[in-house]
Amino acid sequence: MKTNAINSKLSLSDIHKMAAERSNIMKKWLWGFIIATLILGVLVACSPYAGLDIGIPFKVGPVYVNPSIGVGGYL
Amino acid sequence: MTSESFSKSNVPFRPVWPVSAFARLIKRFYRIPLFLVAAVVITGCTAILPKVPPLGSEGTSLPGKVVWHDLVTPDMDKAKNFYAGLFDWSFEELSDGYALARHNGRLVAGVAKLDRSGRSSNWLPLVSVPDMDRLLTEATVAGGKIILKPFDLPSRGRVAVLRDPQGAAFGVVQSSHGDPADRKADVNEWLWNEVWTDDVPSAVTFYQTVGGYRLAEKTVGDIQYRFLERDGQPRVGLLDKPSPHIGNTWVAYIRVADVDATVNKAKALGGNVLMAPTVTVRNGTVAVIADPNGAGFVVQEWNK
Repeated sequence: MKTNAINSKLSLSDIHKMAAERSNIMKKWLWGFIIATLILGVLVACSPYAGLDIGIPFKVGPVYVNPSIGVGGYL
Repeated sequence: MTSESFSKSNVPFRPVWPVSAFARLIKRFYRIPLFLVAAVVITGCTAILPKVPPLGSEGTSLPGKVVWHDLVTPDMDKAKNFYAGLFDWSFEELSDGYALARHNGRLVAGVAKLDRSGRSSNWLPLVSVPDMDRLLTEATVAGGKIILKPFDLPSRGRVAVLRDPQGAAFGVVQSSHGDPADRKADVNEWLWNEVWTDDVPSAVTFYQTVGGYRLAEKTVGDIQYRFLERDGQPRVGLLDKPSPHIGNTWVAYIRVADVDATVNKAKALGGNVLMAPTVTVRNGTVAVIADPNGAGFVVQEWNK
C-alpha cells in the first residue's frame, strides 16, 4: 500500500480520506437498503383494519339457543 | 505502468457506478423514504391501502343496507383455508394484509389482517351511508363511538368503524360507485344480519336515529321478531343476545344447503360449533359457528 502510494504520488492521508469516503458511502448505501426493505415490508403488509380491536363477542361454551335466531332469514 | 496511469485506474475504494449512484440518491433524498416510513407508522397504513373493486357499478345508493362483510383476523391463512373448505370460496390476495373472497366468481367478502396475534377475529358488516360526516356526528351525539376514523379505500369509498351505545361494532361505507343491488341470496353467500344486544329498545333508538330506519315487527309462532327496514326493505334484525356470556355484537348469516353437513365440515376444518342445529330453533335449520380464529357467524338453510 505504501509503495503504491509513493508510486502513484498519493499520500497516506489521501488514501485514508478515500477509505473514509468509501466507508461513508457504503454506510449510506446500507441504510438506504434497510429503509427500502422496511418500506416494502410495511407497504405489502398494510391492512385497512390493522389496529382494530373489537373484543371477543363470541366465546366457546355458553348456550346460544334463542328461538328468535333464524327468523330474519325468512323476512 | 506509469504513476499517472496507476493513479487513474487504481483509485482505491471508489464504488462502481450503480452503487455510487444509489448512494448519491440516498445522500440527497434520504428524507423521502424516512418520511414515508414515518407516515405509514403514524397513519397505521390507512394512507396506503390496497385498491379494491367498487361495491356497485350503477351508482345507486341503498342507505341502511349491509353492502359488504370484512373478516378481521390475526391469521389470514388459517381463515382462508377454513372458508375455502366450508363455503367453496376462493381468495385473491391484494396485499399481505388484505384478500378478496369470491364464490362462483362473485365477490362476497374481504379478509383483513390484524397487526397483532392477540386481537380478536370478527366479521365486520359494512352498512351503506349517504353522508359519512353527518352519520359520524349523529352517531357520536346518540352515544356511539368511532373506533376507526374514516379512511378512503381506493375505488370503494370512505369507510369507518363504530360501536353502538351497547358496544356492538359495525362498519359504515359511503360508496364511491354506488351499492350492490338487492337480490336473492345464493347458497354459501350472505343471507341476513342481526344485532344481538342486551338492550334492544336502546339499540333500536340508536339505529333509527343514525340510519333512518323504520322499526317493523313480524309474528312467527310465539315470537315477536323486531327488525329495521329502510325504503320498504328489511335490513337488520334486533334480538336479545342468547347468552350473557357474549358481548353485544352484529351477527351475519350465511345461507347453506345442508346445515348438518356444514356443521360437520366446520368441525373438521378446525371451527367450533357454538349452537348445534336443534328442533327448538327453526326446526334444526340453523347453527352458530366460530371459525378457527374465533369469528362467529350463523349458517341457515333457506328455501323460500
